[in-house]
Amino acid sequence: MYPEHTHHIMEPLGNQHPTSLERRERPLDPGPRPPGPKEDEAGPRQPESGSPSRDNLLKRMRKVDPKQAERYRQRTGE
Amino acid sequence: MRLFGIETEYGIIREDQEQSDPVVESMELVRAYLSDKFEQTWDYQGEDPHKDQRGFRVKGLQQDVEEEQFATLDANRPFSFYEMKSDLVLSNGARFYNDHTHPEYSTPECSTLHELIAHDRAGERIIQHAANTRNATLGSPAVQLYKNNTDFHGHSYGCHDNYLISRTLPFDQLTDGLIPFLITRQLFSGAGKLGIEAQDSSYQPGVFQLSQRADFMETELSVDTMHNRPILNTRDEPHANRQKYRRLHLIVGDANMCEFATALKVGTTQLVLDLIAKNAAPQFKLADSVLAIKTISRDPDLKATIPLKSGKAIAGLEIQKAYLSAANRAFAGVNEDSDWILTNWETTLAQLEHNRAELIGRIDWVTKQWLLESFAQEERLEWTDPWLASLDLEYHNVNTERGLYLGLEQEGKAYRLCAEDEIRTAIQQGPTTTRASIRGLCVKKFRHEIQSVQWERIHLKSLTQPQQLDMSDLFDPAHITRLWQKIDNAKHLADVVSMS
Repeated sequence: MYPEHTHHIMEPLGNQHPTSLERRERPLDPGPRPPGPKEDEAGPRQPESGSPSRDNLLKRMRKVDPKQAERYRQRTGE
Repeated sequence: MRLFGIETEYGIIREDQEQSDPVVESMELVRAYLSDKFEQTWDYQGEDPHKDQRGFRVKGLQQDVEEEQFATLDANRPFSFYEMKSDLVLSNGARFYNDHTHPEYSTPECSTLHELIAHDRAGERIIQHAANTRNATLGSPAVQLYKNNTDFHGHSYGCHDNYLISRTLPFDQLTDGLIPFLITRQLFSGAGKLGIEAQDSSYQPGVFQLSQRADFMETELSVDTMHNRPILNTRDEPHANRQKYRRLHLIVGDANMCEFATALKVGTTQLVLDLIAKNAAPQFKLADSVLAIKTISRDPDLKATIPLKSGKAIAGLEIQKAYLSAANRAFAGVNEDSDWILTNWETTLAQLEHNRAELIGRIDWVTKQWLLESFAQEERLEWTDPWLASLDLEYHNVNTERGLYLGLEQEGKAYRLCAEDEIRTAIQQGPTTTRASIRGLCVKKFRHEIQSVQWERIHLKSLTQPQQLDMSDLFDPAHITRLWQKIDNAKHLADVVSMS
């Protein structure tokens, strides 16, 4: 699948006019993001195999409050 | 022509309060995405959830009584119903609002799987950005959001996949061809769930299921969405020219974290719809489809069979293989999207049968089961331990510092289809091949000229006569490009609308 499939009919974002809604929607903070494919290597990437990393993912799992699901309540949606 | 989109209702909590008000929290979350005050622009005219695709209008929905009760309570609030909903139309053509106390992100209409994945991920980023802003106001990371479908206490909320189809397709042909596929689609599109529940009922821990939603399916066909939920929803809101189109509104699916699962869910469903339109779908007459969807969900070994009306029984994988085989005969080599779907559908079914570990990071229920098993082994937990249900919930947290799936992604164990720059672009603009790009451009450039917006139309403010941009038949990409360029070059939206 298909980075070359993406058509760019519009101008690049930087060339567009600053507009009213752009002022209304807050700009997104880039923040920490999962490493996607590098931007010049868009497209599928095979996951690495193995078990969850002890240092990172297991640490994150241990931080989960054991009572979190018990306390979690929502109203019925659609 | 293909057109699809996904609506996702998110779960929301305030961790700093024993009991928070879901109406207020959901409303404030949506509004946190704005930098100035909310102005209502969504056009609710023409939305009629009582209208049924089978050609009638029901008098009432199962949810009406409960909705009335909530409406009575909410009438005493210091804000109106429309302020509570806080409907936003974003510059990428998406809709972001408070739907039944759940922040909902509806992707813009997409025409390729690649666009859809980028926009589904864009929705996660937008809603988490709103949570970060809200949390900054609150002074702590109190608001957390979950892209899942259950609260483990009998309350479900949806992730709906939508497809534009021809009105000429007889509805019976659609249901006969689609229901066996939908019942077994969870084999690769299920998000996984620890425990069994039902609408408004208690939770039974310890059983790992493929799907979050199967427990909540109560009938085969219905226009209802909140109670008596159907495998195939019959709501008739085409959001397009009613004479020519239907919108298939599927509420049976789970919210997926894996990009691969989302792509395969929507891609295979689109191919099956194409098969049905050609009258080439396999025919299975199931004895009890509601029981069948639960049987398959509660069988992660994939050994269970479901009874047919003929008295025979068949495994879910065999039903999927029959659909795959028919799709291969009809669509192999037709285009790049179809070939990607066919190849990965086949590989996935084979891996489910013979080498499931290969699907970690691709299929949510396999990934979640692997995570929970690893953790239970590490901590010597029983499957009934409530800690595991909490891990199930946190798998779906869209906070990058907490979510377990996102943690897995950060470790490089998730299969990615979209690059980060594609997601960033999707946050800003709609797919260039669909009318969503027109909607997004109009609200971005001419917000002060717009009275209201619906999926298929934009009403302009006018002191003289009403003017609207009608997009109910706007699906030709070349036409869309020309109109986009006209609007982009125009000084006023009214100039373009009066010409068109």
